Amino acid sequence: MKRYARWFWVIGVTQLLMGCATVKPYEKENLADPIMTISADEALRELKWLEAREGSTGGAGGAGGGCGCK
Amino acid sequence: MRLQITHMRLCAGVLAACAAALPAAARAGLDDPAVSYTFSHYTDVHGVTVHGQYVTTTMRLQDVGLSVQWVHDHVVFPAISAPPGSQEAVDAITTASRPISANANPYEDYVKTRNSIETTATFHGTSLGYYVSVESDYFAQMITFGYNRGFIGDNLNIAFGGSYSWDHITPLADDDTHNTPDYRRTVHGNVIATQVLSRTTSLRVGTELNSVHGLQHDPYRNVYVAGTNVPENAPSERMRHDLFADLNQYINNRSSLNLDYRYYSDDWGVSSHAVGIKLNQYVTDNLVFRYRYRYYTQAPATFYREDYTQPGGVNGYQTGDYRLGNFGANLFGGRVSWNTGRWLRRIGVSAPAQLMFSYERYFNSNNFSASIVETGLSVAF
Repeated sequence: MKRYARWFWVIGVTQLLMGCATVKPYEKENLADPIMTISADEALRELKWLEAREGSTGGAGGAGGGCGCK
Repeated sequence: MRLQITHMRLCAGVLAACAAALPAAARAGLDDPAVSYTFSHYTDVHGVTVHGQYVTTTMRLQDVGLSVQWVHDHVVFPAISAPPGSQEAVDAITTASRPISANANPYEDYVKTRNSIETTATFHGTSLGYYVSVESDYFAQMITFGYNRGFIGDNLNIAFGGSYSWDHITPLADDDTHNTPDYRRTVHGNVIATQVLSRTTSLRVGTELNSVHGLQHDPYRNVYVAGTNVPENAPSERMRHDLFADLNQYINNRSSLNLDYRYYSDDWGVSSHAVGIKLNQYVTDNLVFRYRYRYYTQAPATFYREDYTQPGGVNGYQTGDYRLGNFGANLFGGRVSWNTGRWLRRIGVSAPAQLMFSYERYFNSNNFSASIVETGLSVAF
């Protein structure tokens, strides 16, 4: 699995470097549209009930608080 | 039912208080006050129901952003329906993940409530937070911190975050286990990079690490091992790690496509892959539909067995928790959100508001299924 993790990071870093062509603030209208945002609250709500049903965690970008449901 | 009505009234009171207080807060120098309320209803094939209520307020005091979130969960575990004294009832009681004693009759519903409050303050990309959660047998506290900074004309954002939580566990009386108070400590860290790739594309990649120490099995559940039932037992240390990526693409017909992937592994042997796709589509200027699908698959923990045939389990560990087994799961869902726009102004409310309703269906290869309904209202003053 480490091989896959390495490729995951290689692709991610490559994408970041490819993205270094800057987009000006006035060109970010579409990126700022509400349908492009990822709601942290929604992600953490979902993570809470998924953690109670699956053996894994993560992907929401923050730790869920401790509770007896996990 | 009476409890639910009481909580609904309490929640309505909190919302009304927020609605009344936030304009006053605005007059007192607090900017951009907003409040949101979300109600979620979860029910599964085992008859477990969870009603969750979330109230979040946010505001700014000069350069400091403040947020407070209150969560109330009302969980009902159904009564055991098998005839008392039957083998089916004995098995259900033995493997139950709820306390069963003279005070907790297995033939009656078991009701559990949970309240938590989380506060966060942010200042120029730095955030600090505190979280506390109270249940009848679980008390948790957590401190959080984070820092993020933009680079390359804010086309690249790097964020670091961490938290430390300390939980006190005081199991309730349970006739077939012998529990003593215990604890759990969790140290969490994450690094996330978000890159603007073009005028219509962004990519987010991140990694998280959780180091967990303490009680990590259900203190009420027994497992059949070599023909006898013994309390569940799992290692007290667990190192959990995940990598994730989200690709967001804006499409010219006023829609967006979100693709996400997560790989997870831990030192108990559990590893998993989760892939998801979401499609958002404007139907009108104020109405957005979202469709989603998620697939999940995981490999089991090294000490998980369908049947433990040898005394002592696997290296002294035994679990009846299917979440540590081998399974796959699917999730389908839809959501509609409506920016009320001018509609609310007709009834005298000038603040912009959004209404949301979603339905999701989850099912896995263990014949488990669940439905999740959420509805919410957000108002910015």
